[in-house]
Amino acid sequence: MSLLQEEHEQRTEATAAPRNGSQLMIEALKRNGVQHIFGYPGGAIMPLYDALVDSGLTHFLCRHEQGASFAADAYGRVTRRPGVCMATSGPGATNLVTGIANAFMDSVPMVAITGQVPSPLQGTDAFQEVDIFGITLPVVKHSYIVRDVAEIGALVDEAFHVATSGRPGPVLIDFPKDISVQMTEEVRARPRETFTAPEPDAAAIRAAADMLATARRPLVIGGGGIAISDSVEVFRRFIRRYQLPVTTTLKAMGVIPTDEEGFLGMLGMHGNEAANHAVQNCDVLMVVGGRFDDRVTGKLSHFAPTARVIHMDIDPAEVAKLRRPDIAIVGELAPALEALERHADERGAAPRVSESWHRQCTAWQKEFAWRYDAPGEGIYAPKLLRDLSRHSDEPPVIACDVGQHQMWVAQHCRFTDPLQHLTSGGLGAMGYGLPAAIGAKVARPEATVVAVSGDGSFMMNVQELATIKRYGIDVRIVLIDNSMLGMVRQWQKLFFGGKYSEVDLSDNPDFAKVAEAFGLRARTIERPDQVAGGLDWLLSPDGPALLHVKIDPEENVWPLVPPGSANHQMMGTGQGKRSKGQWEGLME
Amino acid sequence: MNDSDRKHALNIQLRAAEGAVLRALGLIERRGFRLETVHAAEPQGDGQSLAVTVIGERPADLLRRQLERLHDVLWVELPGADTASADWTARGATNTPGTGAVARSAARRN
Ligand SMILES: Cc1ncc(C[n+]2csc(CCOP(=O)(O)OP(=O)(O)O)c2C)c(N)n1
Repeated sequence: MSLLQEEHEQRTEATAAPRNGSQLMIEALKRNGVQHIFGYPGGAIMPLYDALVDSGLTHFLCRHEQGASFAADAYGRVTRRPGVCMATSGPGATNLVTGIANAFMDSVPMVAITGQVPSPLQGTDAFQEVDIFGITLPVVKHSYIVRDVAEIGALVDEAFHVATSGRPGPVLIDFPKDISVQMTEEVRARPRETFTAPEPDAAAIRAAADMLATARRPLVIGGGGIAISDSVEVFRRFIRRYQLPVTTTLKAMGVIPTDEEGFLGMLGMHGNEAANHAVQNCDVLMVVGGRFDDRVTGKLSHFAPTARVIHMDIDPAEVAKLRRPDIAIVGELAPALEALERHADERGAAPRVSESWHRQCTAWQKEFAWRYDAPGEGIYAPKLLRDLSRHSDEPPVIACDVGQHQMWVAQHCRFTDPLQHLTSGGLGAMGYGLPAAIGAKVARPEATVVAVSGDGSFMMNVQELATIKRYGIDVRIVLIDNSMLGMVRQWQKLFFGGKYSEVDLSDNPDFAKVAEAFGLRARTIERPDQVAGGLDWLLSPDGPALLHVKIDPEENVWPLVPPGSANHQMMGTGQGKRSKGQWEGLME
Repeated sequence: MNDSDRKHALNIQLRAAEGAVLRALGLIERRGFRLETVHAAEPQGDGQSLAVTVIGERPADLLRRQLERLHDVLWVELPGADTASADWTARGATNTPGTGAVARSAARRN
């Protein structure tokens, strides 16, 4: 019996002093370890906000519920415990949806609480009534409408368990107002099962170990599951012990320190060519906690065409969803990797990397190493981002927005831990960066946290500057301003004949003034000789600040696997050499 | 029906909880299948069973695992399933039980 279950049984017997639903909710949140909540009040959730006062919980009033949901998402990523956000019914609830979907796509533990109109009014189109339960069905791991005040404690316990167990995800609790004020002395348990991960299958482990031992050109793809399941150390040991060539997905940057010798960089659409060539030429591909996203595989039928595939994941529904593996190992990643190691030891059959494959990978790494000797007058954003992440010994936590700057962060920043990189991977939601930085800083006050944003993305949750100011949350912001919706412009240039449609942002506000109006320090730079000073200034111990960086509007992200192409068919190849003419030629 | 479409029957055992039927049916359509027939039995205690036939070109075994991931789905049977449909299992390389002739799984969802 789990601890929580025992607790329930005790609590079912005891009748407690009468409390209302909201008090029970707060109590249950605290029992589940919650300290911080991101939210926004309103009519239907007023009783819960009332119970919040003097509860000992710290609430951060974000300035848009989407901001609250993104902050909770980042908090959940960093702590591996559910980030909690709450909002009122109707518009408050719908404003949470993007953050809930974001957490769903990236397997982030979250508990979202929404106020709901009183039960008797539900289904009458009451003021601020929306069916948030129905709206969010496809983007939650699970959801509840609270129907019984006596069950609240058990329901919240279950919600936290579901959000964190197995493959994590968001859980929604819709809380009708009448229940939130209803008094009760009763505390009722719910039938309860606890998730237990399957043991890695012995036959599958044996088969996988044998396959790796007979490989000549093995490659490992590290996926987001490694950080989620806290398997980073075991993963690193496995890779290092057998000197396996390794690449990672966007979400797994840092599972191997990006500076490490055998690390080929990120793979996929904007991946490093070394990684993409390796994946297209390997003979055994081991995917650890990844899900063959289309941005990773390129044209699926041409992905890793010569490889036999070993797929490790906790979620059986990811197996053979897109690429049918030769061997699937379903379960927790760390025990599976350890079992593989043990098996290899016992049989004296370690994973093998042929001398020539090792040489080939090293050669690709050299050939496609990023270069920063950019032509042109302006600031080269990849170099600035690289310098940002190397400013101190310990890389900062970077919370990214979405677009070109996001890809530059993944390509050029240094990460020694996957939790240093917070990025909206599956959903690709502009507006994530700033609130995510807030959530991360609240979760890890000792860390340096930098939001890297674009001029389009920044405006999607710019109001959160007020949250930063109000609570003195020490977030630093690098705003890469190309006066464009850069990533969309790049695609229009490449794939729509250069016809620009609604991507011009040349009438942006003065971002430094905007930040100053919110009470932050701000500075604008536009020449390469201002970069070093700008970064020193930004990262000085003087509190929240925005560094506004103006760059060339026509800058592109290279290399690029065009949609529908195989991963080795990259455009802008040899971009490391960055001869501008060569790239522009590619685009006509 | 397209050439690649196949028809599958599924028995889905649900927790009798608010939204459970909607979740299961919604998932089936979202994951690339058309619902042809749906029969929901009267709830028995905490459970309710749902019998559906679906049409689609994706593997029914994958749909089964996607359904079983839902918290309110206890297990799914594929009465007509063909054992060979998941060849990665044939190598002794799975611990998702129940891809046999009657594919019934107690695998916990995630
Ligand atoms: C909420 C949302 N709306 C639209 C998009 C589509 N989109 C992807 S990148 C991009 C442009 C982002 O512009 P900016 O933030 O300035 O970054 P840049 O690409 O210029 O670095 C857009 C509109 C998205 N990803 N998210």
